[in-house]
Amino acid sequence: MRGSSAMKSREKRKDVLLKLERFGRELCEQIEKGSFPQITMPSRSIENIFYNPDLRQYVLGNKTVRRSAGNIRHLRPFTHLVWMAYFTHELTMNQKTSTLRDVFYSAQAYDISFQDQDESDSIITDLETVLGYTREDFNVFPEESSAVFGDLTIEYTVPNYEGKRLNLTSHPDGVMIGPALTSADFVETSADKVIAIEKGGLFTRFIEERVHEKFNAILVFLRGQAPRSTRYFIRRLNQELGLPVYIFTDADPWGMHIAMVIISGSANAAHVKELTTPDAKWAGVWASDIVSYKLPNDKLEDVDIKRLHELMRDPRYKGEIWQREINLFMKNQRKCELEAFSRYGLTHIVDAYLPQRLKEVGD
Amino acid sequence: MTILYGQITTNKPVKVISSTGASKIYEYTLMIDIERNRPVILDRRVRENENKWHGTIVEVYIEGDYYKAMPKILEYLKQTAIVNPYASITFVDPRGRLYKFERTVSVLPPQPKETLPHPHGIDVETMYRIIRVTNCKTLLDFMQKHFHRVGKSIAKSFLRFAGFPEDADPKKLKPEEIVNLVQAMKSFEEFLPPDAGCLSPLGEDLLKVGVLKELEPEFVAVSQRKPSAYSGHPFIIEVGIAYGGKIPASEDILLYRFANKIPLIYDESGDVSWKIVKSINWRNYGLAPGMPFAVLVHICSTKIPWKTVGKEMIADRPEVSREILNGIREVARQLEIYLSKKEKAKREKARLSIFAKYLPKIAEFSAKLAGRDAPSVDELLRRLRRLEGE
Repeated sequence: MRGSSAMKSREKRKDVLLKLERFGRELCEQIEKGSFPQITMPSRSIENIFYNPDLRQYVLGNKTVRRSAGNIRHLRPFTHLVWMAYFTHELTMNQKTSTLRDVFYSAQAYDISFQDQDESDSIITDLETVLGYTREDFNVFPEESSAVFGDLTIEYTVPNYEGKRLNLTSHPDGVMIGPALTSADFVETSADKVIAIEKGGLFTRFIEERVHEKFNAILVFLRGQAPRSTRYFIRRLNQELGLPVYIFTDADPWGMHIAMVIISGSANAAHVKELTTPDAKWAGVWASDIVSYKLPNDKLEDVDIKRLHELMRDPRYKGEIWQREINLFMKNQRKCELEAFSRYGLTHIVDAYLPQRLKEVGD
Repeated sequence: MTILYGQITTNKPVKVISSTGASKIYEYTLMIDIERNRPVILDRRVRENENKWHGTIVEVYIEGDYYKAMPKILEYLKQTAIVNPYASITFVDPRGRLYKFERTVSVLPPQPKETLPHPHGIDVETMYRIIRVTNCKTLLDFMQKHFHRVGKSIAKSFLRFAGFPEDADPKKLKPEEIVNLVQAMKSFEEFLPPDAGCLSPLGEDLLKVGVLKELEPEFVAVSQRKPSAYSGHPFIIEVGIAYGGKIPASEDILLYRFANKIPLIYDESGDVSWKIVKSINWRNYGLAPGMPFAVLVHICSTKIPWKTVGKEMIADRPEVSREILNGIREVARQLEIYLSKKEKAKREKARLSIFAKYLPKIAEFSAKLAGRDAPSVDELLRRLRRLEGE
């Protein structure tokens, strides 16, 4: 288990570097031949994003776009892209990491100016599309971070920590899912499932109530819409350790979608693969739970209803449970938060709801 | 006008010294008999012209508030210099300051030719005067001798039209017959249009020189319209437009008006040119108030269509305003072309500089990625420059 993932990440790193170098070499050759350098990459426009039912995620179609340095409108983003390739090559080579914000500022050291971080973020997305790797693969991470807690021993592969091990129960607040953890090898675990939670309050409650022991689970704090590194981490837990994944969110369309992005990915990331966990399950809180558990609730607002209509047409929501819950939301016009269980005492969710639900959705 | 004003404010005579470069120099001191509109010669001297001097000197005293009038006076001189670029003007003002407007050309516009009045432009008073001096015995001769572009056949068909016998003696016409004759002359449509040889326009070259000399613009376009006529009076419109350089950007449009090479300084807003300039949609020509440009309108005529006796405003005669409008449109189009070419050149330059900024960076970073020296982008930049040169 351990050897394979370490090998995989090392090979991936090597391949990223090779691809980046080849990218630079091709541009140089084009210039030497006296032509304006150009690149072709898959189009990320909305007409080229398709849902692939076999992969259970969005993928890009066959349309491509060509960027040429001979076109004045492409020139600036083209230059940005080449710089980004150079910069991330340096990062990956030296095993350093950078955040999206950091990249934006680093550019200025090379006399490359981005108007704002949105512009540099979009160039990073371009580079992902060109290379077919995610930004985390070339050591660029988003700012926000989520956390994990549970009996899993990992071994770091980042410089200065190489070989160092850590058990993810060692810190009562959980361990941040950052670059070092994302690239760490999994050594061993006694857990037999993963429970992912949208809200920080519940994550802490679960640790305090020893859910990880009572239910033999690794707990993941999503912090709302989960960052990509967290989605990748959950996928690894599922694929490498074979652990089933259960996701708990608020009972509203937004909570549903947090679970869905972990399961089937987002349209924004149609150009990258291996971020999804198609077998993960949305375990609650469901619209039906509001009634059966008599949870305090609020009326759906207009934006909620609009969102439900969108989800109803979304190909990712074809499955039975999704359609059933969307219809219930529409029928009852009610929503509630994860914290609503506290109405019946702080431990109610752990004592009553969780065992019942896990039994229902478990295989 | 100046002599009259000088006389009624200071009661001093005017002194005129003149010679054509022949053997004598004439020197007159005179005043005006205002009631009878005739000169009163106070002193007359004739001197030998040993040095073949030629020219005219006029000395006149007038009263005025120089400090109040100063800006207008200087403006008047400057504008005079625009339409008389072959003249050097020197002015020492009451403060003792010297102003010089130097000539930059020594060519004069062609001399105008003396001409007879056109029948369309005749009034009863003028007709009486001509009849008084004529020695023609018949109306047929009279018409041909005293009027512009009237030949035998036109004279015959006019007299038939007017109902006068060809052999009628002009001196024996009754007052009501004279009035009828004048009215018939105004309504007869077969007279040939007046010839503009009697006019003295500046010409496009000289106008351009004058504008460049005094206004120092970045660009100037001028146009002389074809001669035209109103009520039997021939006229020629000359227009110009000047842009940039030392032309100030003003909120309102800068308009210079001239009549027979005399600047019109006052009452701008009542002038037909002002009305026309304000009616033009300047945005169609890529211009807008607030941009540095000036419009010049010069009207040359044997009879300027003044709006009032003040002689500061041109009246809105359809024949005249049409020529002014078309003239301004023509030069405005030329300016538009100039501006759009300039804008295009600027854009191309900016475009090239963008390539020159980014291409080397692309070469630099892709070379660093490939672990080699940067390839030269000079050839690519050369090709872009060549494309733009075309």
